[in-house]
Amino acid sequence: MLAFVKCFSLKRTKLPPGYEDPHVLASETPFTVNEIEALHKLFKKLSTSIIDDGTLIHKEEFLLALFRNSSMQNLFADRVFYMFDRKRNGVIEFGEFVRSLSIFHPHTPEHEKSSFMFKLYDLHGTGFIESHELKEMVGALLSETDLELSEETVEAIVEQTMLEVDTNKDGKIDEEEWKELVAKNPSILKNMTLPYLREVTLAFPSFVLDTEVDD
Amino acid sequence: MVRKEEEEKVEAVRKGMRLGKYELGRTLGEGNFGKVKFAKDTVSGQSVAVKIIDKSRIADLNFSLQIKREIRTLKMLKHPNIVRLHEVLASKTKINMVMECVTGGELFDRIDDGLLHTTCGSPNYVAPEVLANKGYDGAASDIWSCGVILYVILTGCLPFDDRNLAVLYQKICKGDPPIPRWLSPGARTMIKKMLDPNPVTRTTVAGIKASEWFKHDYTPSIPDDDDEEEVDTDDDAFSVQELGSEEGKGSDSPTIINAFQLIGMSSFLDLSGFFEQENVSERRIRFTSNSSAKDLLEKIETAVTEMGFSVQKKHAKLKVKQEEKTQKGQVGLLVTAEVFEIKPSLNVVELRKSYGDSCLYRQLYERLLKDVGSSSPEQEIVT
Repeated sequence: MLAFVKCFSLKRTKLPPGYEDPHVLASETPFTVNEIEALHKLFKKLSTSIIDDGTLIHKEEFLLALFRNSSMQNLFADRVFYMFDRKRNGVIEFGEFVRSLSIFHPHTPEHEKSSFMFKLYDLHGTGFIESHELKEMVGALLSETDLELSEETVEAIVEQTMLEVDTNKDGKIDEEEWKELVAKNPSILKNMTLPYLREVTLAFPSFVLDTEVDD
Repeated sequence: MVRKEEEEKVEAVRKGMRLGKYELGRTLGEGNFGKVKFAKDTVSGQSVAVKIIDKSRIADLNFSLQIKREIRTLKMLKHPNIVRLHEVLASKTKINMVMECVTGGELFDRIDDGLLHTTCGSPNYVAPEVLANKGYDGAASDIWSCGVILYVILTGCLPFDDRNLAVLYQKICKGDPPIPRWLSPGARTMIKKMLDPNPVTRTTVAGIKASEWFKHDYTPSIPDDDDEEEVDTDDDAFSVQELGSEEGKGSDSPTIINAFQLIGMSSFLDLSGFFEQENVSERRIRFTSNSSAKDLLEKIETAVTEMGFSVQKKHAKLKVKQEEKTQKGQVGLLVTAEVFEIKPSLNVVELRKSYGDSCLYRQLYERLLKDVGSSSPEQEIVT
């Protein structure tokens, strides 16, 4: 509500296409308006790296920024992009970028991080992580790391994990079971926190020159 | 209720008492571009100092670049003896740098009654070659400035001072300040070597550190390392020790890694690439080993200690630090080594660099690979 009022109290200045009012984003996320302006500097850098539009991050630009390679194929990279692309239209807008990154903020509650990760691992969006999905992900990790494990070992790892996590024995992991696993082993969420997000104003300081924040 | 708080907040902002989550207090000092104020973080309760820069005074493009450079540089400097920059806030008219609040007080307040003051700004600390305005080596002129500070700390007076700027400049360029006889010979030599008007023959950081006077009772400070939030502080479930103790119970089922723990090792789930210059693969290196996890940790510790690093142990993790400056001038290296047990006699060693020189990191990795990596292409042992 407050955000709504703020939005209209602002002089309707020319917002770049695809840009969202930082005040609205700040009201929905742990970021301050300045931090969102700093993130916009990062967004602009990423969204102009291949296709110089400055308003959308394309898949290739996303991959280039994270892995210095715009054409690589990887299951996890696909999943992360898919999770960022909330509207499922194949590109990441500024609002999607900020809202998704906010999950990785050190101050964001664990349950939000946990739920994001569950959806990321639920490859087919069924609401469950099934054992074949688990196996597919283990396979992707092995091919990425050159770690050579026999088929039997992979089976054993997946089987034992299912045995441990699938407590109601229905052959798949639901979100409740996932939460219990995470509660026992918080390090599973370690990729879900980016300490860098606390320092975005220092990492992209050029926002100080054109900030829209009133005194 | 909320509305009232909101009104109070607006009121505080109007009075200039509030800045985001910070409550501004008294003015600590004033400089060319604005003020430094004491402030309190209302969320954490932490005291900070806020440097408030008036944008109207830095309209010049060069100053804008300078401010951005200052922010970027301060961001990199994480050291207990250097004031930390926490964050930057900005409005249409102001830039606010939120910094660590150092409560030591004014240098001169500490050493005498506070009667001494520099005549204008602080040209008293500037090296002669900087005054000559012909380009200079920053490292050498910093040694000069440190020499002036050392002189002030030891004697309570400025080595060069005059009301008249021209006379002050003359004194600086001539060098050779009066050094009280009551200073120890070591201290007198150090001041002379640092306040050498010739930047080429002036002593260097290495020279200072090698001197007996400096080494006396010196303990190096440990670099700040709060970058890596310990998200897994209470998480022992997967640590090698834990698995080891399970083995100790004589259980028949061999210990094996949880699939989610394994998947979490993927570099493609690590989004730090958005904020790092270096590629993930340059910061994070892994290799496998057939040695037991316990052996591995011991071997890694021995190897890195031999290389002159210091080591901190925590569960299945080792924090490896190098605190001295390298010859190239980069500051230190901080690496975390972690062992993941995939299954008995197959471990993955992961090295993660928090900061530091890539070459040195590479050397560390190569040494560890040689000492503890699997000698033959690893053989699959069917469980």
